Amino acid sequence: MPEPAAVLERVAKSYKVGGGGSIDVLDDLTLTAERGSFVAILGPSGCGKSTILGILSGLLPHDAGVARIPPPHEIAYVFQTARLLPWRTIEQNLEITRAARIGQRGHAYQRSTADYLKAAGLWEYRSFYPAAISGGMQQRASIARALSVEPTMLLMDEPFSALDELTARTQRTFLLRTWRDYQSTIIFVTHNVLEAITLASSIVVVSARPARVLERIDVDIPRPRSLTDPRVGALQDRILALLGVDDGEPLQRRASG
Amino acid sequence: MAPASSSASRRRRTVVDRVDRVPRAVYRALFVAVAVALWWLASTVLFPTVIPTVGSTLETVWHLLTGADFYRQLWVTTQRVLLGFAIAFVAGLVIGTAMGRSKAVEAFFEMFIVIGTSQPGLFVSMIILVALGLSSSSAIITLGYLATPIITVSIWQGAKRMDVNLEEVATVFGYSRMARIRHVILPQLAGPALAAVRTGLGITWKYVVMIEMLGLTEGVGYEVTRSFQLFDLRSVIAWTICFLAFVLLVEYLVIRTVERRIYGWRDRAAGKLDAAETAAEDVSLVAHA
Repeated sequence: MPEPAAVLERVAKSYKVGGGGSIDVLDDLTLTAERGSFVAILGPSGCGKSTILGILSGLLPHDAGVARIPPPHEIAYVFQTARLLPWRTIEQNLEITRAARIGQRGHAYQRSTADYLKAAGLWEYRSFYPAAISGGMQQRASIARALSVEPTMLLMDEPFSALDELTARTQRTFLLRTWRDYQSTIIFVTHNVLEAITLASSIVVVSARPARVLERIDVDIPRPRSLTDPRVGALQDRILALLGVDDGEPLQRRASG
Repeated sequence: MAPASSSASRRRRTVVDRVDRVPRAVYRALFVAVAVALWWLASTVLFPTVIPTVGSTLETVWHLLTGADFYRQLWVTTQRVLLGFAIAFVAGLVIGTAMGRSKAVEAFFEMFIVIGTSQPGLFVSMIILVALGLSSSSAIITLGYLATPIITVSIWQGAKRMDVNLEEVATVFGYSRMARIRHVILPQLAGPALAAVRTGLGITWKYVVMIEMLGLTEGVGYEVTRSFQLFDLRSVIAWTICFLAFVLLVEYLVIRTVERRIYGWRDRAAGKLDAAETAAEDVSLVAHA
């Protein structure tokens, strides 16, 4: 069995607050992301998911436990919003980022910037500035930027939560396709249960703060996963019950969670 | 290749809003026409004995513009302005950036900003001119000092409002120091820097003539004072008009050109296609999916 892309073992993290106290954000969190897997970290809002990503990215120090993560130049990040440089074209945004990484990387990229722009359906828009394309396309450009540095691990912080549901669906399809094509490990934070079920190969359900892993669920429903698939519904009920949102009502199969 | 669908832009309109298809130049010309009309009214009906007529003044303007003296004096004044402004801009850039980055520096210069932006420039000029002597270099130093606070404020505000989200992107993707400055920091400072150029030049143009009036023997301000002492109101107005025309020329030829260059990404967001009014919609993927 190859070594996992990233491992967190009994990691804890707390923040100091004014007045000398501190808040425990992570408490004894254990998490493994196998190579090439698509891990969704799912939990209620404010449960410290961004802190988990921070630790996984190596930017945030943790207080206790062990974090085995790839070196910084092998990690790419997609934020909640696109965060492209507004004064550079879509293509320049990718080029600048790739150029920044090439030094530490030490070897050439396998594919050209053009390949990534084409895969994201942005080739015709390469000379546009971000303000001229729609929000969904901007987010896709930001995913293309992350993929184009050819990371071994891709961290995504609720990347579709700022988009409307229809756009988000298209983006998810795009993400799944590129994940299959590029074989990158993806760790994807979300509070949208259906999004996690649609995308992930395994779902890590995390509790409210301080975050602990409630359960790790491997999802073996074949893709593309339909929302009308009874297995999807069953899994959703199970996860909602884990999170304590089971209120006895038939759970609405709404698209956003 | 015609990717941009022509839906109405949901985004912020570009900086220059279209004014109902009438070119902006028409409105600018209209402003000048109204000003001249008011002047004509004042010089013929209201105060015919005091205010020189439009025609005779324009004649003097013509004499100024066709003679050599005006250009010589204007050059002397412009040199002082540019040097004084350069001092102020460098000082403002350094102090403003430092204030934006450090709380200690911010606190240290806080009072300087408060005093500096509301100081009586005339008194300050007197003090510096007397202290350093009535020379062109003291004038330049005075101008530099007077314009520094307002430039500092602009840069300071810009440096404070740096986008931390983009900063984070640069960190995550390991941008080098150079790449960070070039692609992340400088583009954000360009707007405030341009505002600083405008206000800074405005102040130096204003004070330079005053300082020249106070005690120098050359320059536009000196010439105007001389005309004033001879009660030659026509020359005073003619000099003022020529001076203002030059300031306008700098604004429209230099500053606006730079501005267009800096904000190309905002005004022509669709790049070469120049489809600033249309935000490209997400059509490509729907076709794929």
